[in-house]
This record gives sequence, C-alpha cells and structure tokens, in this order.
Amino acid sequence: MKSIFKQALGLILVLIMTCGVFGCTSPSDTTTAQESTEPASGSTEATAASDVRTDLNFGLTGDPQSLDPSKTTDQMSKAIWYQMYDTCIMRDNDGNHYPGLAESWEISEDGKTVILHIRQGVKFHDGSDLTAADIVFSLGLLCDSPQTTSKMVSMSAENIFADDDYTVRIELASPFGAILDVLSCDTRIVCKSAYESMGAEEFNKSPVGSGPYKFVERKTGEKIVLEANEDYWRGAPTIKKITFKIMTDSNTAVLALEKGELDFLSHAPLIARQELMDTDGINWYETDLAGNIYIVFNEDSEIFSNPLVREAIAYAVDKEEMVIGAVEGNGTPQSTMVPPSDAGYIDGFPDIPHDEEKAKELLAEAGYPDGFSFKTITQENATYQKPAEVLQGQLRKVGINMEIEVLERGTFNDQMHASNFDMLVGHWTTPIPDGYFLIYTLAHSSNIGNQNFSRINDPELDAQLDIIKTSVDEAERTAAFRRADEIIQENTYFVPLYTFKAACAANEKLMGVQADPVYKFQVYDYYWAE
Amino acid sequence: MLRFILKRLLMLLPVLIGISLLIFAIMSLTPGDPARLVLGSYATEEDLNAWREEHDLNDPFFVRYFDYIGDALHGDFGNSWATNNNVLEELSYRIPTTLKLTAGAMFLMIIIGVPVGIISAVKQYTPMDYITTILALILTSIPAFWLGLMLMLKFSLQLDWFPATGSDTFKHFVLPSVTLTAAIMANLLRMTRSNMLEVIRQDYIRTARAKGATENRVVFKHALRNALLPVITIIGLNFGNLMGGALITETVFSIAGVGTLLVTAVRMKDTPQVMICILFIAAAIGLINLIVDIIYMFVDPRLKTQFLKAR
Repeated sequence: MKSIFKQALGLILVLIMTCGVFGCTSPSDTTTAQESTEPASGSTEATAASDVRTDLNFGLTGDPQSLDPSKTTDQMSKAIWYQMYDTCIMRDNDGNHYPGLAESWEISEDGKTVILHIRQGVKFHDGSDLTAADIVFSLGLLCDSPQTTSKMVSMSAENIFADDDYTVRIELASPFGAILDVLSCDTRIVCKSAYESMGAEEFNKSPVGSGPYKFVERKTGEKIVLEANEDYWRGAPTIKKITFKIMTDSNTAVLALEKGELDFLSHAPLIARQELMDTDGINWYETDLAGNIYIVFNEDSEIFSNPLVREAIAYAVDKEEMVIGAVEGNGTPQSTMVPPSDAGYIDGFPDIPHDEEKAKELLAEAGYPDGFSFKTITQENATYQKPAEVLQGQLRKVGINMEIEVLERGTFNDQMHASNFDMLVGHWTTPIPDGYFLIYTLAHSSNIGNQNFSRINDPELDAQLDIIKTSVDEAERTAAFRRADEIIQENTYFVPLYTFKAACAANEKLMGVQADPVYKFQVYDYYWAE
Repeated sequence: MLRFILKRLLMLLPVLIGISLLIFAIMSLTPGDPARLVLGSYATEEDLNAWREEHDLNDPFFVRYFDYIGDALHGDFGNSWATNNNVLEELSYRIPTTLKLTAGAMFLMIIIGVPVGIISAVKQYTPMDYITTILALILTSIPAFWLGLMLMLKFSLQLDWFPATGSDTFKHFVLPSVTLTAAIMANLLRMTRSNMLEVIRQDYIRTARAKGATENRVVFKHALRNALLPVITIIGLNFGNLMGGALITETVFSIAGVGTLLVTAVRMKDTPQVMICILFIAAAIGLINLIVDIIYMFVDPRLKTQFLKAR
C-alpha cells in the first residue's frame, strides 16, 4: 500500500515536470495565411442549416474600461461599442460614407452647419423609439466628456440641437473636413431616457443602445455577453450570441484560439503571426495600422534645434533594416507621417535615402564632426523599445551615441507631454483613419503644451494644417496634406519610420472577417460557414 | 482564547494602516500622471487639471491620505479612476475566484509536499530521495508564467484534458492551481524533509526504536508530530506567497481574480483599486497567520500549557 502511494506521488511529480519538455512541440503544420476575406452581408439567411453555429467567442486582450461610449477611449471598450451602439453615419474601409441612423445629411455651403435626417422607426434595446433628442443627448455627452475621442466632436461643435423629432442640426465653430468621419466612428448613440433614469454609473452596468447586439451580462475581468437584437433596423444579425472573453496575456489568448476556446482574436499579437498562420483551422488577417512609428525632435533642444542635425539623423536611418529589426518585417517603411490607411496619405511621396556618408557630412557641417552623445527615453513596451534599440545601433554608425532610458508607461507619457526630452521614438495611432488626427495634433502650434511635443511653431505648416482641418473639398485637402508632408520633410520636424500591421485571427469557418486599421470589428458582418 | 483572537485582530489594524500609508505613498509619489493614463493622449492640459481637481489630486499628500482613511473607515473605498466602478464591489466579485485558486494550490501543496517530504526523509539517500530533491529544486527554479504556458500546451492544447482559460468549473482550476503551487510546494517539501531529518535523529526516536516500536509507529506517532510543528508555520507563511503568485498565475490563465484586478489597476495607476486589493491581500495574510497560530496552540501541548498558564 505504502509503495503504491509513493509511486503515485512520484508519478504526479514526474508528470508535472515532463509536461514542460513535451509541451514545446508545435501542434500544426499547414499554412492558411491570407490578407483579408470578401465582405459578407449581415443577413439571416446563412443560418438555414441547424448544425451551423450561431455563437461567437470573441477574445479581447484587455478588460474594457467602460461600456458607456462617453466615458473612455480604450480600444477594448470600443470593441463592445461597435456591436451595441450605432452611429449616425457609417463608413467602409475605403473611406466611403453611407447612411446609418441618419438616412441622409446635408452640409451647408460654408461648411459650418451639418443637418442629419434621422431614420424613423429605429428602436433601442429597451423598446423605446430613437429620435433626434437621443442623438443630441449622445453627442452632448461626448462634448462634455474630457475623454479622448469625444474631443473630436467637441473641438468642432459649437451647438447641437434638434430641429424636430427626426432632424439634428450641428453648428460648427469653423468648417471641419473630417466631420463625417467623426460622425461615423466613435460617436456612438445611447438611449437618452435609459441614461437619464439610470445615471452614468448604472448605465455602464446595463447599457442600452440601438445596435445589432443587446447587453446581457458582464463579469468584470472575465467576460461580457451580448445577444442578437432581433428587431435591428438593418435586419437581425446572423451570429446570435457573442461572448467577449478577457485574456490579458496575449500568449494565452493565442493558445485559446488554437484550442478553439476562442473563435476570433482581436489585436492578435504580431509575434504569433507565423505560428497562427501555420495552425490548421485558423486564418490570419492583417492590414496597415492607422498609425505609425516616427522620430520626434524637441525643437527647444540644444542639439536638435539645429535642422542640420535633424537632417543628418534622417539620412542615418535605414528604415528597411528598422522594419526587420523592430517588427520582424511586418511593417512598411514610411516617407510621410500620414500612414497609408489614413485619408490624406500621399502615395509615392519621395523619401530621404539612407546615406551614412551624407549624414556624417551634415553632422560635420552642424559642428559635430566627431558626433555627440545624448540620452533618449522610451517605454517598457516593444512597440517603442525595439525601434529605439535598432535606431541606437544605426546612429552609432555615424558617430552618435544614444543612451536609452527605459521608463514605465505613465512616466514616459509625463516626460513626453512635458517635452522633457531631446529626441525620442514615438508612436501614434488615430482613432479615426484620417491623417488630420495625426499631423494636426502633433504639429499644429495651437497644440504646443498638449500633443505638439516637439513644440513645432511654423506658420507655413500651420496654414496647411488649418486647410486640412477646415476644408471639405477633397482636392484642396489632398494638396494641403502634400504640402504639409513637404514642409515636415524640408525641415525634418519628424522622421517617419514605418507603419506596422493591425491584425486579427479567427477560426477559418468564420466568414466575413476583415482586418481593420483601427480594429473596428463588426460582428454583424460575420457568419459561420456550413 | 477569545481575548487572544481579539487582541490579534486589533494588532492587525495598525499593520493595515501602515500598509495603506506605504501603498498610498508609493502610488502618489512615483512618477506617472494617472490623469493622462485615464483621459488618453488627446486630452488637453485643461481636461487633465479638471480631472485632477475632481479627484482631489491637487490636495497635499497627507490631506488626501487622511481623507481616504476617513472615508475607508466609513466603508467608502471610492470608485475606480479607470472604470468608475465601486472598488469594493469590483473586489468582491473577484475574491471567490482567487480563494478557489489559492485553496486548490494550498490543497495540492499540502497533500503532495508533506508526504513526499516525509518519504524523502525516511528514505534518505535512496533513489526516491534523490529524485524528489532534484524535482523540488527544478520546480523551485521554474518561473510560474513559463510553467503555466507549458502545462497549457501539453494538457490543454495537445491532450485536451483541461480547458486552457476561464474559471467556470473545477476543471478550470486544475492547471492554474498546479502552476501556482509548484514552487511553493517544492519549498514545503524541502522544509518537511529537513525537519523530519532533524527529528528522526533525536534520542527519543532512537529510544522508540530500541523499545521495539514498528517503523510506522516511529515515523507517524513519534517523529511526524514534532516535525509537523514548523511545517504548519511554513504553510501559513506560504499563503502570502500563494496570494502574490496568484498575480502571475491569474494573468497567464486569464482568470478574473484579485491578481488580475491588481495588475490592471497598477498599470493604470488606479490608486483606489490598488489600495483595496493590497489591503485585502494583507488582511487575508494576517487572518491566515492568526488561524495558523491558533492551530499551533492545539497541536503543540507546550504552547497550550503556556497559554493556559498566562490566562
């Protein structure tokens, strides 16, 4: 008896240990990579066969901060909003706008008034009718909130009111070129009566929208469950139940996807790209992120206020090598600050070539024939740290010794926002795929003290950025984007480095999935293959 | 006995207050602006100031601390800065999950660590002893996040015996409990072994053997009772390690417990949420140690006599 007991114990221990050794083998072998699939309709026809699944386990790599669209800015929360709330206008991946809650819209000739004609017969999840009052209330909430995305509306809207039950009038302080994009992305419409009766805190716990999915339950840190809104104005969704599973460790999320505990993984980690592509039954989807990695200089810095030094750095950088070293080749070198997935991207804009000799000449001309040393800051996050490390090696070749200080996120943000640096590798993503949100924010002189960390104050650049902000004429906007890119390059205000992939991965039988530059995944478009 | 428990509970209060001051100071004095983390990159300086004002962050440190303690003594631990949810409510959702995980790990630690330690000591310098000693050394050295992933790969993905993530059923807790307990169980095993070895060499054991007692009687009746005394203390102390280890294990297995709540809160510099989590962990460790001391009194007749005399 005693020996059996001993043997059993020994076996348990050996099992625990050996799993580590066996656990290293990979479970799969074939490749099923693809860029993106065909768009699918959200109609209900696809579920005719009874054995076709109608549920979806959606993996999120963070716990959503708030289900109230006026209360936060984090992408995990947005993943839920996209399913529960509608926008007035909708936008496809090519940047075309089409009717949402607003059947049609008009923009006045001076560009300062937007009139939305609201669709009749739309109902909220609690059964109440959606009217102009709900739109005015929701946009008002966004304007009053200090959170990121809301700024997009509040920075432009002077007055929002209802002309009648189904007409909303938005009066802008000045014309705003990206107003339709703003109304089609994160400006989500909530049910006014529910919000007012519950109060913000309770509304966050049982939110009411008009979107294709209704809130069922939330276990914080664990899961959020939504069910289909059968009365949805665009037709009931095919997927009837979504369970958002929170997996803060991305390795675990990848494992859960491989095991089938997840059907879809938003924000799929690029490091698992090859592994997931090689896994049977999983499809990988990727597109260029609506954001970029770039070098930002402090115009007040003793060294980098000299344009020759900035130019030398631009010549010293090898972007191809940077993409390989920092993101394992999963990126695209950039010649402009605006990335390809944003409106305002100028295709084929010439880049400054990699030329170490030229860089050394420029440094000598600037008074640093033997190079110089300085300290940069970065944050403990591969997105920032890896390009900084690659850059360190590249600058060393032209005699510049860059010491890197790694800070935690909060401290890094503080230092960056206080312009307490000489030069650093920055990363910016736009909540809406429009280049305005990137270059206007980072380079307009009115943002000095806020997001213009470089403290750029260039009236010529400001003039172009103002056109980008206020013009509603696409050709005029494009010309302004081109000129702004030129001014930035001529003065080397920034050195754009690269953009990388925004990815998701899904069960291969899940149809209708598309990668999105701002991770805007709409489960309404998904359905299961038979 | 009741007086002893009350006294110990009262002693817990200054400990908790000390910890609260320490954590509050760490959260307040370390760099990193919570306003910026919460409001995001597009927020303007005005927005940030308004937010700081709303959350009293412009007040001096001690004013804020005593306000916090004052509210806390009234049961109001505040709302999370990041999610605006009531932090006590949020914590209460997570406690059962973490307790289940910790209890599972503790159970495994005791049922494996103690017997294997005893066998290892009784059979000193045999292959069994060598194997367990080496295994214990390896288990102590393996980082939990790696062990967790490896267990998941083997027993979840390849063998499909257990689910990889979640916390709905008993099965969900098996792999996390093993991960959490591995290093600590190995530690307990080594401690049990060395205590047992020490006791086994005592004169009274030799006497017991000399009078012709069977080996089982010598080990279980005479040696084990004495060897277990320090082991009980170690089990109590290890509870703290388990609570700390739960931070990593919960993250690896995507379990919504106190650990993941704390990690997320620290990343966001969400002081109210961090405070309540740490205070809970501290109180739990304090209570477990109290329970261990009470058990100790029952197990060790010397202490019981002392206690009775003192009374």
